[in-house]
Amino acid sequence: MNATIASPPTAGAPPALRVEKLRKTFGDHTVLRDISFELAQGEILGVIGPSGGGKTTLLRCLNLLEEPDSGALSYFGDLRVSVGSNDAPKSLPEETRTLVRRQVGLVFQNFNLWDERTVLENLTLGPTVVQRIAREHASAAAIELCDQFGLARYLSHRVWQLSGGQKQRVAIMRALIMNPRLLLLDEVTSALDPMLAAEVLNSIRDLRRQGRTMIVVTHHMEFASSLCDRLMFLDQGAIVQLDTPGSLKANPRTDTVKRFLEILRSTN
Amino acid sequence: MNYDWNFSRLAPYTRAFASGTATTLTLTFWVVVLGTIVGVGLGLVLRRRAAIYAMYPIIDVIRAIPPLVLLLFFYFLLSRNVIGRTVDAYWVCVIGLSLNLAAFVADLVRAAVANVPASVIDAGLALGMRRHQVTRHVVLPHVARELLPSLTALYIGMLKLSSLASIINVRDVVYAAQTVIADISRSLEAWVIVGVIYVVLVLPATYGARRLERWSRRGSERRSA
Ligand SMILES: Nc1ncnc2c1ncn2[C@@H]1O[C@H](COP(=O)(O)OP(=O)(O)O)[C@@H](O)[C@H]1O
Ligand SMILES: [Mg+2]
Repeated sequence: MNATIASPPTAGAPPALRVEKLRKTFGDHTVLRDISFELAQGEILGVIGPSGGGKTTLLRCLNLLEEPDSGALSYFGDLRVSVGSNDAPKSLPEETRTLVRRQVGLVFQNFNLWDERTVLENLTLGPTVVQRIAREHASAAAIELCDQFGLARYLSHRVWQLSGGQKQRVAIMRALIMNPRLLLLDEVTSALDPMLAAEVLNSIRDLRRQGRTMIVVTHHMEFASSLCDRLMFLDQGAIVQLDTPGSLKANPRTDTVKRFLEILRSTN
Repeated sequence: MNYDWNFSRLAPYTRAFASGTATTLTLTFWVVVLGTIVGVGLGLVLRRRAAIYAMYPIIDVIRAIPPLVLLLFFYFLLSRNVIGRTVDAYWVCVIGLSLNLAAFVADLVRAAVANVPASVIDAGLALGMRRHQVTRHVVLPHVARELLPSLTALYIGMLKLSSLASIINVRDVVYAAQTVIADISRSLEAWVIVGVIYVVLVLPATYGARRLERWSRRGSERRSA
């Protein structure tokens, strides 16, 4: 890996995430090829690249919603998952998956909320079922979060009654209420018009101020440059470039990166 | 009309009709509870391919047999001659009709579970839920909502089907009418009363079901809007 880590926020601590030779195929289509990188604690990594490049699949593999074909993942230095090597089990045990998912929150591109349930139910189901937190405590936490995200009035609305921007914030809150050590956000603004996107992006900036470790897939170059410590350019399942936003823009390594950045500049 | 209607002659049978109605209701209650539990359980098991091959023939056979035949079969099967002891006709009826209901519920549940969008399930898994927790807290509530209208229709059907119980001497509301007819030959009045009782039981359920359906449909219309 020849990318440099730009001033890791908590140097000395074990990395939040270490990915080694992560491979994922669907049938005979290789979607991720030997992805390796490290993420420092408190760091925010942006993932950009053409669609179909494997960004969503990468996030789903990190949360183990997709099981990688091979590779090793290590979270916060203490939780190691290895697949595809000789001594590794054929399929990951449920214990491992749930352990990882409790530390790694994932916000889906299309919200994936439970539409016919209320905002409050969407937020409290995780804490009450997974962490076995008493309903009153879970509700209190949900109310506090909704206050922060400007959705206090909507607690008892059903999700299908909300606007896209409100839904996306509920989706972010649903992951946040589990207090994940690492938060993965998949194109959280692509389904939204610019006004709504701005609301959501502001919410994510607040998360940065709280020092959360995040991986953010996005097409908003402005946002990515100002928010992220480093940017990863993913194309055809491989990391083409992993750099600070400044150097990525100044020295795009390949023509693809260069053209992609130009297109983003002209459309944003 | 030449018929000399005379409902007052039936007055002494008020208690018989009342207790018959109670029997009809409790019978339906048990059929609905047991049929739903067994049906949902089977429906969940049917997610597995092996189970589909093993169970579907059985479910299809049960669904093919008219409930009346099923009842008579169990009535003679669960008897002293065959199993060494008699089972109360009331419970024979509960077993027979529950089985019929369960076969229909299982098929509905299997189809509904198969149609739960992956996104709904992924959301639960991503939070760290185990498979069984996703089934219980995410999949089943989703399925229950989808199936509400079909289930209520099946339940109302069961209330009416419970009228078969009198065939094996369960003292339901139809049995009460037969008693009246045997005693005082007032058939027409007896059946009018039985009809009225069923209407009074079924209509509120039908209206309730319709409201429920409208409510759940409104949800999905807005959702797709
Ligand atoms: N469940 C799946 N089954 C088969 N192919 C898939 C699946 N998920 C993603 N792919 C394929 O993997 C590639 C990468 O997809 P994705 O990770 O969604 O890219 P991105 O998020 O960068 O647009 C695409 O070619 C897509 O068709
Ligand atoms: Mg994607």
